[in-house]
Amino acid sequence: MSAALLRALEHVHGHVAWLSTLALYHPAILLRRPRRRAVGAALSATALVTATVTLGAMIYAAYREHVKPALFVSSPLIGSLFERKEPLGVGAVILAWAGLSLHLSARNEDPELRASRAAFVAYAGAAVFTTLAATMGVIVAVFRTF
Amino acid sequence: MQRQTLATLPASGHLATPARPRSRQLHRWRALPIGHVASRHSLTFVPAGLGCVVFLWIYAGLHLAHVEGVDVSPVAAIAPIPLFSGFVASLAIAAASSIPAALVFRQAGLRLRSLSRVLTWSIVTFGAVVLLFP
Repeated sequence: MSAALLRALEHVHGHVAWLSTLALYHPAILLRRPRRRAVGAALSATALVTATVTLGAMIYAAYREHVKPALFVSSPLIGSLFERKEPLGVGAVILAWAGLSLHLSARNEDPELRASRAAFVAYAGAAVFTTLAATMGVIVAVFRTF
Repeated sequence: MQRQTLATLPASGHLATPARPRSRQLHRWRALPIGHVASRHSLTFVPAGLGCVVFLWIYAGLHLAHVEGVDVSPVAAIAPIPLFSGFVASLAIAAASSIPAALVFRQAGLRLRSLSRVLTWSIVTFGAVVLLFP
């Protein structure tokens, strides 16, 4: 991949990351009420965060080779922020998929609405994780990029 | 007729239960038409919930091991990049462990009562491990 393409993908990754962060708050807020159905919001938020993580994974190998060493040399603190951002993104995408599965499997016959409550917890956790990861990503990107 | 008889039984299965307010009785009538027997639909969430919890704990454990310089050799053999190998290994373990657990839950007619609480604690633990041990 050329440097221009990597830079473009990195920018798209950053923008889609903030979009997915905002999108994940939508099902998290809607599902506070366990009987509420929010299939569209849950599906779109999950798709967005999956796209974000996929884009990140596409550029990760090149980033690890070209940018990360220089990042750690010039600022270990910013480098450690990048190290924290990656697992948070992984956790967010898993939580979003779990939240979607839980929400789709939720039925009114479940007397205590456990699946709906768990879906809310999963989306709330995913929203918090993506907020942290996106904020750290902006700090890292401002400091050094492709 | 059989279904209606079951539906009139309280969820606990005992006939002598304390009287509930009428609004709560109606709520239970709508929400639980076949008593406390776990249905197929209400148990489909068990693999998703359990799988997510298992993934978070396994990934946090592998992350801690990597930070301490102890890379589990079967996991490290999956991919040269620890992020990817940890992800694949955690996903595989979560899938492999959640499906049998869900089958056991379904056969026994059990429900995961405290899934939300367990998931919350798993999220907090995962976040703490990632943020405190980069």
